[in-house]
Amino acid sequence: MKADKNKYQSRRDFVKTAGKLIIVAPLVIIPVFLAKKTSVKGYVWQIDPLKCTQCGQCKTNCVLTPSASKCVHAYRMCGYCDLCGGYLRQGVKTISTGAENQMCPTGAIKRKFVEEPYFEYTIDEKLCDGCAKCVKGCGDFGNGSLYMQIRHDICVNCNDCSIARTCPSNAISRIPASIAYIPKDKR
Amino acid sequence: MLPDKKNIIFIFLIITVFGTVFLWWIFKNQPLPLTERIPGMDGRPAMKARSDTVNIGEFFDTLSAMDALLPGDWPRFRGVDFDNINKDTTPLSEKWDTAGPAIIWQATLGEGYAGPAVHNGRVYLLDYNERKKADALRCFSLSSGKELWRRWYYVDLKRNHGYSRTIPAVTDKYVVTMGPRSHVMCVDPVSGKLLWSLDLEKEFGIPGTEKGRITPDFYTGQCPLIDNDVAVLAPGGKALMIGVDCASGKIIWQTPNTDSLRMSHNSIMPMTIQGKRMYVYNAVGGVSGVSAEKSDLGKLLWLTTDWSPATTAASPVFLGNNEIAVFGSYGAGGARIIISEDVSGFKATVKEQHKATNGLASDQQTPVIIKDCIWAVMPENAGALKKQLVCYKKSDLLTEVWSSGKENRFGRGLGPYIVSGDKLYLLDDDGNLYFYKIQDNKATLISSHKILKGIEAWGPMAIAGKYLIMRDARNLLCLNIGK
Repeated sequence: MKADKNKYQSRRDFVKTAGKLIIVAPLVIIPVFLAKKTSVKGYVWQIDPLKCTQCGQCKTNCVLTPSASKCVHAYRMCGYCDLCGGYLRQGVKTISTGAENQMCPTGAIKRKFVEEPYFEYTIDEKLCDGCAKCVKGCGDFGNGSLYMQIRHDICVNCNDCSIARTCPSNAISRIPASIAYIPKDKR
Repeated sequence: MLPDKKNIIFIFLIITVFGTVFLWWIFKNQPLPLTERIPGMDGRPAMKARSDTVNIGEFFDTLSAMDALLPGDWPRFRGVDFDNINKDTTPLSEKWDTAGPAIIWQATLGEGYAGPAVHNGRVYLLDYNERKKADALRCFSLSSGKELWRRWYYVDLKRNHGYSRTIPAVTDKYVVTMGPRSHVMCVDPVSGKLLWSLDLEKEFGIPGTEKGRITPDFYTGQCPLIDNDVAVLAPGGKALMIGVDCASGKIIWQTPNTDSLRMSHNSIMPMTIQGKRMYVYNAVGGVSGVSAEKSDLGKLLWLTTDWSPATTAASPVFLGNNEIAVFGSYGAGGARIIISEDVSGFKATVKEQHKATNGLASDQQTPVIIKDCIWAVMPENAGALKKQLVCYKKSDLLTEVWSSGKENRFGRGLGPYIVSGDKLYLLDDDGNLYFYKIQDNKATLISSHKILKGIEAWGPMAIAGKYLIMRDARNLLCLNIGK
């Protein structure tokens, strides 16, 4: 009998304890979860390359000069073309590295012969001012392997990002800092 | 009054402070050092002539016997009349059910955009076999899709946005093909027997020079033309245009290339302008007209370099009133050229030219003219009209009279379209086939269906009888669009 009573009490205690836990747990977990979610440190601004329309406002609207928004290259998508719409201006008569033929106003895209007929394109981010002209050219005429991203080693992560505020396609939003970038070739 | 000591110190301090601020401002944001951007910084090696020897048409495989001989003719790029309009009276379906048009047969191809030609129940396609590294003229039965034979030759190519791009030209006696590296081959259309071949790079190239380079970037896109049993080709280099006798393989005329025009992705379009039949070709560097009449066959009639986009793929179209429309790729837009004639001869004048954002443009496919309207799918960089099906009046290439709307954009605006009667079939880059009905200068979407699951469905389509033949990067399909 004694054993049965203890057993009964033990079950009752268990249910009571479980009930308390069920009530208390959300009170602890939800604030922690929300606090983590709203933490400024946990989120960074980033451009969704599929929404970006290469309007050029990243260059002028960032609080930094030059902009923290840079062109990056998805090598796996690149066609390594000789006639590259991201590197060369529209309507060039000769394909060469002459400044008059280049799309990039600052010469931030470097081109290197690999083997006939392929050329490799790399971005010198120090020179890139985020104008996105190359991104538009690559998207219009090539595989779209050039795209814009906000570089977090430069970005000061403003509470109200001035590029995001004016982006006409709402391509800029906060994403978890653990993700940080939206690579176009890994989606 | 001489300044006292206090004033001197005050002025000195002000100058020092402002001088320090000025120097700090000057040296704080030092611009990055300027570097020259001059040609040759990419390490491109000097241009060399290719050293490999290609035995064009060396191999032949007989694969199946011919079965049913179906009617229907689409013997070359843009069909019988070079207008991309099917004139066959075979009744075609007015609407598709949810299953879409039935797939009759399909075949696997090497990666590319080469379109089919159809003649006497056979489908011809110049494919590239990546495993063998070979160009292959493949002949299929239109009724069953069985491959009847294959005439092929080794040619080493590296993938450069696919490989194949051209459509054979077929007559009762000849099939003429042009491979990705400008290898021309003429075979018997029934037996596949090799009649002759021509290596345009070897025969017409000027080694070591950019202007003498024959094959353009992204490989050859020019579709050969057979006119009165003469293969008409535009190699560039040593000759702007040539005529090759299909029976003997001999070059019977050639047009000197005085302005060093280069082969583009355009094809030669026969037109009658100012009452004279001529071959119109939009090369890299300029647009030209070459006589197609016996009296002065091959003579350069006119040439203009005022319209010369770096790249051009859509071929010229005749607008009437001695005018042609030409198109450039990569945002170059289009232009209207008027051909006039006086005692000194013909003269071409660029009457109007516009960017893709300002008027009719086409990056890849040649627009279609129906009565007084011209139809096209606009390229990706055409502003608000990008990737839309549009209609312009032939008389005004700057103002669209109809467009499919922003909710109806088609892939990247690079897919083909073809017309039969009042029906327009449009394939987008991703293999969705749209069926529009045209009434005057408007089109109504009747049906659409996802046909192909592949990518880059850019090869021009063909209609033969009740069959529509289409492709994506790797698959060839024959659909029954008949009633």
